[in-house]
Order: sequence, then structure tokens, then C-alpha cells
Amino acid sequence: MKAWRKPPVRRWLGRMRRFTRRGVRGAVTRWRRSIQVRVVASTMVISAIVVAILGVFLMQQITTALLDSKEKAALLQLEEGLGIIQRDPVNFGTADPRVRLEDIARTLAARSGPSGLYEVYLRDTGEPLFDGFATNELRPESVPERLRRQVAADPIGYRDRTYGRLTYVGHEPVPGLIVGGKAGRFELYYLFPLTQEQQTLTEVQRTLVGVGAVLVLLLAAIASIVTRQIVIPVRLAAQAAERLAAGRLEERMRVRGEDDLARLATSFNDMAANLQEKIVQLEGLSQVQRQFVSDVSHELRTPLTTIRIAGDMLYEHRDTFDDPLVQRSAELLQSQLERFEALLADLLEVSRYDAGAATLDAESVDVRDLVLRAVGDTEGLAERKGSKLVLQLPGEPVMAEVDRKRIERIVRNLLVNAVEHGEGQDIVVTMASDRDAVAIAVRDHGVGLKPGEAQMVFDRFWRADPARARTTGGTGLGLSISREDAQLHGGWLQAWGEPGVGSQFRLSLPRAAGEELRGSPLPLVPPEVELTPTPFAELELGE
Amino acid sequence: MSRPGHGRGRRPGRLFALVTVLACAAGCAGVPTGGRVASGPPAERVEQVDDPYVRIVPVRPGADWEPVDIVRGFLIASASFDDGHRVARAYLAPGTEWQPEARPGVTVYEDSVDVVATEPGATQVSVAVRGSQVGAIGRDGQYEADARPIDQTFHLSRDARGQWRISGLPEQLTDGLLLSRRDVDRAFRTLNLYFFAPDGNVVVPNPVFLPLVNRQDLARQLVRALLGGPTSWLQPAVKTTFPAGTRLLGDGVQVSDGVAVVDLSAEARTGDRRRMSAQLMWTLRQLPEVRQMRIQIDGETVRPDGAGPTQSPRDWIGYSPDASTPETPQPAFLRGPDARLHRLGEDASQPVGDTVHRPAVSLDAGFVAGLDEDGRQVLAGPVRAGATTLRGTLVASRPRSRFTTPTWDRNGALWVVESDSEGSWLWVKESGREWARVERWGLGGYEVLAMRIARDGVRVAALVKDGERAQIQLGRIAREPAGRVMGENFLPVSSDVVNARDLFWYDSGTLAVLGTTAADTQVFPYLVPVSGGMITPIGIGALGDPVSITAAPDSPVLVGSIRRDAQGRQRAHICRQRNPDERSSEWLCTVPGSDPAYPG
Repeated sequence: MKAWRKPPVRRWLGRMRRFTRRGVRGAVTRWRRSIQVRVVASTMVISAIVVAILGVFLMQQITTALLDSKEKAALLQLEEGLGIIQRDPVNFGTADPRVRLEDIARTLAARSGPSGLYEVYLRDTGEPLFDGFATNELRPESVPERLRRQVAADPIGYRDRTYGRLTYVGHEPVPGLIVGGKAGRFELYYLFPLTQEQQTLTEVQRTLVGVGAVLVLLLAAIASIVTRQIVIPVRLAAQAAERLAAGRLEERMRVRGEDDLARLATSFNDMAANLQEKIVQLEGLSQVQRQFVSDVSHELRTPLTTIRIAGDMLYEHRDTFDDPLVQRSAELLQSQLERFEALLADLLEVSRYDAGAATLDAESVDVRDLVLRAVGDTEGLAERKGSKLVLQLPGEPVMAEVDRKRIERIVRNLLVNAVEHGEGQDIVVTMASDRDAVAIAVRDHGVGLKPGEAQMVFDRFWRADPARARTTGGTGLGLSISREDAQLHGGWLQAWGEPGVGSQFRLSLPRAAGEELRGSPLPLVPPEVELTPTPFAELELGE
Repeated sequence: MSRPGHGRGRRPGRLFALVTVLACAAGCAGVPTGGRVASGPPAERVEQVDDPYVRIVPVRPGADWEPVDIVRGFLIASASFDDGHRVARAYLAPGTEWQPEARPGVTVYEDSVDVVATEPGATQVSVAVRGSQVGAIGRDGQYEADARPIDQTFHLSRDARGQWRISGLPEQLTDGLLLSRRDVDRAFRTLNLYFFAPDGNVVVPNPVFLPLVNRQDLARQLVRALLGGPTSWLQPAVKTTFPAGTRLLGDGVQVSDGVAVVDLSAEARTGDRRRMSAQLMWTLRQLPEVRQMRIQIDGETVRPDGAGPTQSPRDWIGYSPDASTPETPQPAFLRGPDARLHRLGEDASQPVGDTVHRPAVSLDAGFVAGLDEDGRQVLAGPVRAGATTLRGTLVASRPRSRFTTPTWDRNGALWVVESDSEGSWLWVKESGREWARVERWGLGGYEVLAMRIARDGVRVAALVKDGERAQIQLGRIAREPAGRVMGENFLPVSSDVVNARDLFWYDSGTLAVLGTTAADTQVFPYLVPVSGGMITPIGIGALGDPVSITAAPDSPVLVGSIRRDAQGRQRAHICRQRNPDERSSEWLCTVPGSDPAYPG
């Protein structure tokens, strides 16, 4: 372990990196989610850029103005100095040139006053033994070579100026303005330290930076306040819309003032009111319809019972009828009555579902038993159709919490459906389970389903072929009810089919009632078909 | 949130406000053209400043310079102290010994020297430098006038590139410099070091020449020189309170915001902190950038008794060599029209004492000394009105000799010089003792016209007759351990006053002198710094014929002058300036009388 411990620096770096990453991620999230953050950030960036540009421009202006005036003053000073040299021509005949030059230098230096406004450097180019005189601690190197060359090369009457660093004996160099000119053999340089100007500029710069920062922050604050005024109503509207979507139709926005946002709120409220009205209306309508169907079913039951008793009697005594036609009619009456009864029962069941009155009567059972019972019920029909029911059930019990009646009904429905459309081919019932779920698949090799039909088979009274005769007495509600049953368990009922290949219906159920189903132990598409996929295979993976 | 109905009405109002604000802002961006009058104390100088000075910029030897030019160039370049004489060293052949230290001995010549090649040769030449020496500055910074001819020989040889370089310096120059008087004026500063008079009650200035190597470094140089002790001239007359071996630690004296920090070595622990501080403060206060001072010993700030850790010059004003503080105005005396001692008032004078010529009043104004009419007897006695209080105490010993005006020192001793055209003798009467002649008197061979003891009691200014002219000389009074007094080591105060008539100490560093200059033959009062700096005339306007002068620190200079009145008679008057605070204020001679005298 020890060998793997990271050194502290790396650990610290890692922590930093994590922290940064988290921060960046948080910022990105906030950036994406909040208009306010975006508006404030972009306001800050844009205003910072503008302020920076303005600041640079302003600094340049101030610097130029400051230095321009300095240059002007410097050139005037130089002019005066050169004038003094010219008015006081050095008389080489009598005095030591050094003495005269020194006197001039002293005169010029004395004019700079006690505040040390400038330094003077006076050169005598005609004197080989010494260079000249400089004031105070000024080093002659302060006059850059480029200026000396320029001054030497200039025609009479030209003045030169440049900026450079003034170096001193014993103290720090300072930036300075250097002007120079020529009077006869003498070169005169005035060196103006720009310390004061530098200070002024630094101060101005500091002020500008401060003001700029305050300005940017101010703009950001303004943007923040303004967007807040916009964003908060928008957020309220979003919340209201969410609540509305969640079904709380009485939700309304508060309307304040008469601005654009108030208009938004008003129109939102109008929309909500309209929606509520329509929905309530529709609900009422649907309620009426369901009630009607339920009532009709109930109302039909009583006369049907009477008709049924009469029908039964007629059917039992059909042998006594001489006319075979009447005899046949009694039989027909009997079978259609049975169908009518089944239809009525299904309708009642459907209306129960629609009214939300269906309840789950779950108990732990072996699902295999339910399947076997359903198979037993449909074996007769299958034999009549020439189909064989092939069972592939697990060896051990498959326990699940289900409503036994409903599951049996589903399987029976699936089997009847498969037999009906099985075209006499084999019907394969497969069952599998895993830890959480149980699945039962019923496969037929009949006509199959056309693309898009896999979803429609669960619609009420839908028929694959409207022209086909109802031979088996299916009500057209079976699959619809089965799906409702599966959903009541929290399970899925799905269909797959392909023309000419057949179809498969798969029922998937959670082992414990009410748990969420995450997957099915069986595939929806039969494995042998999936191995040879057809280009138009359609998977319908609805719930 | 704007309330309904108000939004539309307020918008033009806001616009108006915005325009107003903008207009105001635009108006503000300008230089004020009016406003109230601001008044206050004068602008304080932010940086160290003194009068601007110039430095020579030397050149390195050029290609193929003749030996004579090499020597000339070397002499010029050695006047530049920058970077340890870096440029001058370029004139020397490699390996040539030359150690002009920070405080070199300097031979000072008049304006110029002749440089001639004496022994020409192919690889070796000798170059002689001839001229007249006017004086020399010792290693301790003491200048001594010493006129004699200079004849120094430089040896030059060719170096590897065939250029002439100095390979042998004259012996006198191997650790010194040969500079012209102008070079010295330019490159040296005269500043005072302050030491204590033997009794330890007053500091005495000791002027020294310090090379201005670097203005920032001057404080360090000053303190170094102070720790080095007094110069040979003042050495016997004063004492320093720094224990032997005290050094300056660290990189010198740091001056920031007017506070100089002096870090002394551990030896200073045993010294008298008060007096050490006084010496340092008095010395450093000459630099304008030093307003306060802090002393550290071995890095530890010390606070002497009677002063805070940060000391100001005020703390040590009690040791002033002027022996008076500005708070106590000095009374002025004179010989009134009735020949009695008078005290000067606003417009007239009141008699306060006996008849006397050339009076001198002791520093406590309690005693007066003077001369009789022909100047051959010294009178002395207390200042008291209405009685004959003065009696003769000393009579001239020579047939034609006369006394100069007596002078009192701060210990109450009375000094007077008896002088004739052959020579002079110094007499002293210490309080409670009899007159005694000072045996060791440096001006014994000269005629002395006036002699004044400085208020510090150590220095003496004298007017010495040198041919036709009277020259100002400065000497010092020292006492041998046995108690014998010496008045010696007189040096001429180099000044522009060519012929002086009378003198008086103005303050510790300045003499008030009546005299003529080369430019002006009219006798006029001047302030003459004893360090030899620029003299300044006092006042303007007609003075008549001034004969005597007296002065005191921060008091108006008084001149005794003889003027013709309306009737053409000569009348003696006391003259003073209309406004003494102004140097160029005009002279007014209104008070009748002669021989003005401040105490001293």
C-alpha cells in the first residue's frame, strides 16, 4: 500500500483537478440551464472587452497628451540652453576651454532649480581630452548612441528627441525624455526624468482599471436584475405549465401589471382555462359513454337471460321439430346466443377497466398450472382446427404473484387467437423465467401480421381481415382485455408478426405483484426468425 | 416596476436628467478658472535636493595619443570620481599601482599645469608636470594652503597594442590626486563634522573636504569621517565621544522619508549616547534630506536620555555651537554718543554702563570689557549704570602696540591681542585669575587687526595684516593636558574678501566681515562662511564709512559707521537693516553711537 501512496503534491493536484472539473461541470450546467447566467456572463464579457478597449484608448490619449506637452517644454528649454551657449561664445584664446564649458554647464544646471526638473549634459566635440560636463549624478550613458549619432549628423538648427532610460551614479535608472541639439562644436542634451509622468500614468491607469471593474460589475448587476425581472415570470410560467401538464388543471399564473409578461400570463391562463374546459367536457363525455356502455350491457343482460332460457328450451327440443329448417334455426340461435353472452361479458369487463374498477386479486401460484389449464381448455378447438399445441415449459414450478383468473384468461385468449390464425399449423407455447420476471410466448405459423398491425391487434374490435368469417366466435375484445390484464399486473403484452412467417405474442409479468418490469426472459421475436432477418421485419416494442 | 399610467410621462424626464448629467460631466473635464484661494505652508521638498552641481565627463584615451595628451587626459579624468576612477585607470598601464581611495590626499594646483615631455624614447618616455601648488587636502579632509612649485614626473611606456600608457606615477600620486582648484570646487564638498569642545557642553564644527563620489552616499561618507575623528587642525582642541574602534555597520546610512538610520558597531555601547547622538545629528543635519535620525548599535535601536528613538535636531539644540537658542534674543550694546556703554533699543539707546571704547560684553551680559581712548589699556568691569565701574586691568607692554577689541568666550574668559606692526601677543584672563600671556600663539609674527573667539570657545577668527591687506584667518584654542593654552594652527579662510576691516562671528559657520572684494573696493558688510564658500553681501544702500561690525545668530547685523551729516560733520551712527529677515533689505543709520557689540 505504502508504495502506492501518491506524493502529497500529486494528491493535491488531483484534488485540484477534481475540484476544477466539478466546478467546470457545474458552470456548464448552470450555463445551459439558466438564461440569467448566460445573459450576465455575456454582458460581463462584452462590457469587459469594451471597457478594456476604451481604457487602452484613453491611456494612449492621456500618455500622448502628457508626453507632448513635456516634449514641447523640453524643446523650449533646449532652445534656451543653446541660446545661452551661442550668446556666450567660448574664447579659447584666453581661458581654459574646460573652465568656460564648466561655467556654461553650471549656468545651465542652475536653471533647473532645486526640484531637479532636468539634467544637462554638455559635450565639447572639439576637445579630445575630455567629453564634457554632466549635472548631478547623471551618467553620460543616459544619452543613447542613436541620439548622439542623429545630433552629430543633423544640419545646424535641428533638434532631436528620444525616450530612454536615465542612469545615475548611485541610484536607480528612471525613464526619461532626452532632447539634444548642436551649437557649433557643442552638443547640448537635456534629460527630463519622467518619474512624475510615470506616477501620474500609473495612478490614472489604476483609477481606470478600478472604474472599469466597477463598471463591468455594475453592468453585470444591471443585467442580472433585468433578466431576473424577465426570467422569474418565465420560470413561474414554466412551473405552471408543468403543473398543468401533471393534471392540475386549476393551476393559473398570477397576473401583475400590464406588460408583455402580464400578457403572457393572461394568455397562458386563457389557454389553461380553455384546456380545462375541453378536458372536463371530454371527460364528461367519455364518462357518459362508458356509463352508457355499462348500462347497455347490464340492461341487455336481463332480456338476454330470458332469451337464453327460451333459446335453451328450443335447443333441447330441437329433435321434436319436424322441419329441419327450424331445427337448424334453433341450433344457430343457441350458438349466436353464446357468442352474444361472451360479447356482453367482455364488454362488461372492458367497461370495468374503463371505469378503473378492475382490481387485482393476486396470489402466489405456479404459472405452469395456469398455462396447462388454458391449454386444456383450448385443446378441443385446436384439434378441430387441425393444430397441435406444443408446450415448452420449465421443469420446476414457476411461482409468481398473479391473479390466476386473469392470467388464465390471457393465455386462453392468446391460444384461441393462435389457433384461429394458425392455419392448422403447430402452436408453440414457450415459458421462461428469471429472478424477477416470468414470460409466456405463444407462437403460431399462420398468416402472420402485416407491418403496423402488431400494435393494432390490441385495439378493440380490430380484425386482421374484415372479410373473414367469424368462425370461432371471438368477440374482438379478447386481446384488448388481455393487454389491460397484463398492464394491471405491471406486465407487458406484446405482439410480433410477419406475413407468411406467423406471429408470436409474449406475455411478460413481474414475479412480485406491483413491481416494475425491467426486461423479459424471452425474446419477442422467435430466435429462429431472428437468425434469418427479413428486410421488413418490424419490431413493435410498445409496452 | 412601473406603475400603470406613469411610464409614458416619466420618460422625457429621465432623458432630460441624463442630458443634464452628461453636460455636467463634460463641463467638469477642464482646468478650473476660478475658485477659492488656497493657502498653506510652503511646499515641502519631496526628494533630497541641494543646489545642482556638475560633474566632468572624462574620456578614455584615444587611439595613438601622444604621451603628453595621455598625461593631460589622465589629470582631467582623475577629477571624475565615478566608479572608483574607472576612466582614469584606463590611462594606466596594467599593473600600475594607483589607489585614490574614497578620501584621497589631493594636491591642489592653481588653474593649469604645463605638461612637457622630458625624455623622449621609443618605448619609454618621461613627462613632467609643472605648475604651482596652492595647497593640499589631507586624507582626513583638512585643507592646508601650501604654495610651492609642482614638478612631478610621469613615466610612460607602450602597451601591447603600441599605445602609450602611464606605467610610473610620481610617488606623491600613487595614493593621491593632482587636481586643479576648479576640480576641487567641482568634485568636493565642504561639510562640517561636529566634535565636542573639551568641556563637553558644546559642539564645534570641523570643516572637511569630502569628494562627492555619489550624492546618495554623502551621509555615509559624513558619518565615516565623523567616526574617523577630527582633522589634524582641530584635533588637539576638541574631543569625540565615540569610543575608539567604533565603525559603521551595514551598507552605510539609510535615509528614507527624512529619517537617517545610523548603525554603529558594538564598540559604541560604552560611549555617551547623548553626546554621540548630538555629534551625529549635528553632522547629518547639514544634509537637506535628513530631518530625523535613528541610531542603532549593533542593529539595536537605542534611545538616548532626553530624546526618543527617532531624534530630531531640536533634541540637541542645547549643544549648539552658537551658545544661544533662537528663543533668547541677544541684547545689543554700543558706545553711545556720550561715550558710555549703551544698550540698543528700538529707535534709541539707553546708557547702561561706564565710559568705554570698543566695548565687549560677556555672553551672560553681566560684564563688559573695553579699551581706553588710545587703545593701550584694557578696561573691565560689571555692566552697571551710573557709576565708574571699569578699571584698567592690562596695559600694553610695547611702546607702539595697541590692543584689539577684547573678546569673551563662553567660559567667561577674556581674550585680547596686543599687536604692533612687528608682531602680536595673545593675552587671556580667565575668570578669577590674572592676565596671562599665551606662549604658543600662532600669529606671533604678524600684525593682528582684530581677533574674535567663536561662541564655541574653540575657534578663533583673526584679521591678519599680510602686507597691505588684512586677511581673515581661522585658528583654534587648545589646552595642553598640563593646562597650558595654545592659540595656533591659523589657516587663511579662502574667501573673496580681499581686504577686511573688522569681523565678528555671525554663527558657528559664518563670519560677519567688513571688507572689500575684488569687484568692489567700497567697504561693505559680508557674510563669509568659514568653510570658504560663497560670500554674500548684507543689505543694500549707502552705509557711509563702516568701521565696526557685530552680529549674533538670528539677530540683525549691526554696523558702526561714520557718516557726514547735513553740516558736513562726521557723525558716528549705528546702522541696521530695515528688515533684518531679508538679506537684501536696505541699511538705515539712525541711532547715534559707535562700536556696536553683541555679547561675545
